[in-house]
Amino acid sequence: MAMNNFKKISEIHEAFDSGTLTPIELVHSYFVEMKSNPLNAFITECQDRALAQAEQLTHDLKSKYQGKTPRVAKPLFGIPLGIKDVLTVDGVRTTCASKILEDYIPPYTATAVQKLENAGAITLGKMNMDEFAMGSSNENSAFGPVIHPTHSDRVPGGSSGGSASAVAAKQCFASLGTDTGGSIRLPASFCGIVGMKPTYGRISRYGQIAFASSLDQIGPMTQSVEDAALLCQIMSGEDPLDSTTLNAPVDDWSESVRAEQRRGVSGFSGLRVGVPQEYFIEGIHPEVKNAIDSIIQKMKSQGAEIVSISLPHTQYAVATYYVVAVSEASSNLSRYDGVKFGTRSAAAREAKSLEDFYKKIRANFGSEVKRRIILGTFALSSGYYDAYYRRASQVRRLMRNDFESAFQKVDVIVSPVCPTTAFKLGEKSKNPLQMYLSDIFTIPASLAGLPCISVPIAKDQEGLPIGLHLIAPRLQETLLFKAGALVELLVGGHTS
Amino acid sequence: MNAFQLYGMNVGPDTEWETVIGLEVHVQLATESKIFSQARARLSAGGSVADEMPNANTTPVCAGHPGTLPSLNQKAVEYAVRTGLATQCRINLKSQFARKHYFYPDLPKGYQISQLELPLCEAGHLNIEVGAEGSVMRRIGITRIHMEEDAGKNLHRDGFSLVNLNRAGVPLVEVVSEPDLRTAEEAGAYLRKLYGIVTCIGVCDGNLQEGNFRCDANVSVRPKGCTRFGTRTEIKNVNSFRFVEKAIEVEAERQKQVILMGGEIHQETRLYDAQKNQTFSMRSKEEAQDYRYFPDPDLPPLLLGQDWVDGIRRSLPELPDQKRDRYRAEFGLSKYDSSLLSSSGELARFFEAAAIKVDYAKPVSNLLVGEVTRLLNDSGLELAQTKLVPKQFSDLAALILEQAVSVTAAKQVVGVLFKDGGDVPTLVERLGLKQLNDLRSIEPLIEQLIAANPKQVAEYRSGKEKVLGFFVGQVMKATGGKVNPGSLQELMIKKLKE
Amino acid sequence: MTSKINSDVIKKVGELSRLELTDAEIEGYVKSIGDILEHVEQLSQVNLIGAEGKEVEPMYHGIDGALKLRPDEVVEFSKDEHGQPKVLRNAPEVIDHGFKVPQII
Repeated sequence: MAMNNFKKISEIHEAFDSGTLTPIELVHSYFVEMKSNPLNAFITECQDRALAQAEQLTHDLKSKYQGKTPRVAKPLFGIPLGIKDVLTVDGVRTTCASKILEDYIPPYTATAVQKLENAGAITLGKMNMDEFAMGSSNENSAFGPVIHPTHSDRVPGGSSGGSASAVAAKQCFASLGTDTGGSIRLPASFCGIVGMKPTYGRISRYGQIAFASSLDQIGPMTQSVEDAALLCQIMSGEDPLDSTTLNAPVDDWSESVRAEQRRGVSGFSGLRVGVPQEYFIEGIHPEVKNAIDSIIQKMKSQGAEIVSISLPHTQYAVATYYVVAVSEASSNLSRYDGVKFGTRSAAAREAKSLEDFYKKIRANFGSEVKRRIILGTFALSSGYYDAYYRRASQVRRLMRNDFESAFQKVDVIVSPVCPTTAFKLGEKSKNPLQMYLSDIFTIPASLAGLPCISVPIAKDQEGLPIGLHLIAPRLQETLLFKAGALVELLVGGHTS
Repeated sequence: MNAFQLYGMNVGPDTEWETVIGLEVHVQLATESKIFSQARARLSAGGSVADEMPNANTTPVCAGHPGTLPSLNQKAVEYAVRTGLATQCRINLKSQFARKHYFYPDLPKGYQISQLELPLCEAGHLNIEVGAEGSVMRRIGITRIHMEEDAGKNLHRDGFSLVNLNRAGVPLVEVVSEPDLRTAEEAGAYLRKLYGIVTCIGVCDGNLQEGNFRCDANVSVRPKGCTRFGTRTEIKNVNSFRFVEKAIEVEAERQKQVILMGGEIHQETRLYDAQKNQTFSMRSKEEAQDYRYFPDPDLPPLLLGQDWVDGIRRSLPELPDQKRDRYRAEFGLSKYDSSLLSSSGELARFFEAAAIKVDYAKPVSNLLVGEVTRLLNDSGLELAQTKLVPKQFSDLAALILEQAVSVTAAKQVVGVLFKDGGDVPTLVERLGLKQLNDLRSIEPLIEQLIAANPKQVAEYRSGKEKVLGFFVGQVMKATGGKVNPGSLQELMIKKLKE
Repeated sequence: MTSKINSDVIKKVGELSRLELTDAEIEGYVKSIGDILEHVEQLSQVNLIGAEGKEVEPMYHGIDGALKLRPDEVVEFSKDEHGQPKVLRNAPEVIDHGFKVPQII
């Protein structure tokens, strides 16, 4: 077995305990894999930093812990992670896949990353993504597109494409992504891994470079539901530096997953699974639809109660989302003025007026980012605010109410993650609206701030993965992970 | 000039004009940390912004680094609520922060966090006294008071500019008045009253030089009797009360002249040049502003409990108007003196700390209102920047009441204390200012004078009583003014009549 | 709806957001943003009057709660090991500890 072929954190820790593996050997093996298979998943490799971390842990394992992994004190001891390049790490270049931040070295570390490193995780590098997390295919990176892990003519999905592709291709054990309208779940589905977005407010956004503040959430991308649960519980919790974090108890979700999986698929018995009628519309690829239908049948046969539900405002989701997200984005991206940080080109240095200076600096945004800034600036501008931003925020409330009514009747809701499997590079990049519509199933839960997860369930004829999307009520991560664990069990183990 | 129509009224050379003024005052709140970051907001006492290393009090949050988020300072909210309560505002238990967008180098995020739709405080007022002896009271409405963050500062060099973000994120409240003010004098009275309130309730350090209290004035003119408002201009950032008054006067006059010459007033921002005593337009190109306000998604609504607000209300100290009335009633001070002493928190606190006995109040007040005010005006210093402490004034008051020093001598002492500080008894001793009350020792001097000036003695004895002044003056001169003037006069008359 | 977007609007919004756009870019954005706004137009069909006859409250935040307040405490961040303000580390051009920008008139 290749050294990097682990699927679960517990397997790595067992190997540490048995003395057959050290953190430093493990880290080395990932760097070897990274260099042998160029997927362009990393923007910055942190080899020296990672090896220094691994060396310290290897030393601690022997001397401080007498060869026994400190699972309780450091549940991520020696676990090599990829960090999406939208999250800051003190002293490590963080670009957000944008030319405008090409040389940016943050002077502080994101709260979520700090919590993982405190738990013993090792940062292998900063993962490629769509510029400022704006995209569904990872073709919008200033550092070039990320390649799909198994089909080189396909996109890995976006915006957390590097994080997804690298986990699937074993270039890191697990990774962090961020999700605004589906940016964790869609690439997880395209690449055949688990991707989870918690309830909005669970994980601090401090150090997450903002795209759309009221929607952005960090989440884990892993090879198993159990590890997604573990990473999520370590990162969750109130942060005084983020006023939108929730003060809510965080359970041992990974233990719930293990308990559920020990009990077996009988856990489906009595679980009320909602199937939104609006989600099974024309435009879904038949193979995706079949895969979802088939897993729903399997759940039913294991005792789940399948309930048809209605989320009547679903058709407005993409329109609502794009107005809200681009409006917030146009505001969040105002800070890139080249004064305090960022790249200053010769043209900008020579600018004679302030106006000219700003324009030369901001010429470093990519074209999709510019499109969204223009759209957002328009939606917030005088005379249009009420018709766009305010109205969209009202429809957003209605969509959230739809979910609240639905959750009176069901425990979880299921749907496809995306109407299709991974599409071809260049297939949608010329048509932004078509690209936006690939997020149709992931956006509603984002607008409502609900926890959701993508679990791989099948592959299409070409061998491209298909994911199942599960949504739970606010703060019901325990329920979400339980359902995810059962689905994982139902399709036979972890990832394919 | 022919008569013409303006705002539906006939205008001609004889038209009486009225100025309409609304003020927007930015008050820096004296919290330790900034409004949304944990950077230092406030300099140590007596410190100056100019002495700080640029950008040393700047964190990634203040500099708007990617990934940073705001977290609201509780003290700033408390201070803003205090300001609202002290100006009779309604406190909105639900308020919302909003982003105001514009590009400028001193605005690190490209937007300022402010409040628009749901400000913290609304619908307050304060009373001002104008006219001779402050005989006319006017009630000036306060539209709203909202919280926001201060911007940084741009320094202009030759051919480029430098940005210092130490001030970026200092908490501010913006106090917006109704357009209720009609004269520059009223505007000045409003500013002084507001200044007195925010320094009295301890929410603002009140240092005008450091920009703790800054004013923008919206000014328009219209024919008297007209009910419509004229087009207004905004005069930005004038940081002395006197200059605000002058700026309003010249701007109103300019607008009148423009209109009478057949011109039009443009809604624009103007700056006041104190040296030339005129206002000028800030921008040549009139750029349409579109601030694109929207609720800040990083900051959920600010919800306050009525109990918390009531607690702050109960903790409010005596306000300047109440102080003024008490000074008159309790100490018998004049209206002018008690208004002046209560016009700044610092001065009032100083006065009260010095007037530890009721009969000290008058001499202390006289010295503060007269000598100290004059010294402060001449030097441009704030009271806190001088070496004066209340104890010195208690000591001086005691000596004046005991007739141990004359009022003239006391003023001289204040002059020295102002510059060098020190302890009053020592200083009086050193300067030899102790008043001579026992005149036996100077009898020989008086007799000598009488002997040396027979002509003046004769004049006095023939009824020219004015000559008495000559003799008293001579003695004062010879003794350095230390002699108790009342006793001296008495003795002198006696000796001259002998 | 698409009539709302033309090259003048794109130019104006470009100015407002300090983006310099070529003619080709403007033309591209007129088309793509026009398409998106056409899709967004359907929001005008949504009934925003609730059951009690009241307008639906906009949802501006991801959480329901109230703003949390932080105690007024200073945390020093200011300087690096050389006594220099740490926030200057990423600055493209610095003079006398200030961020250099073109002359502001």
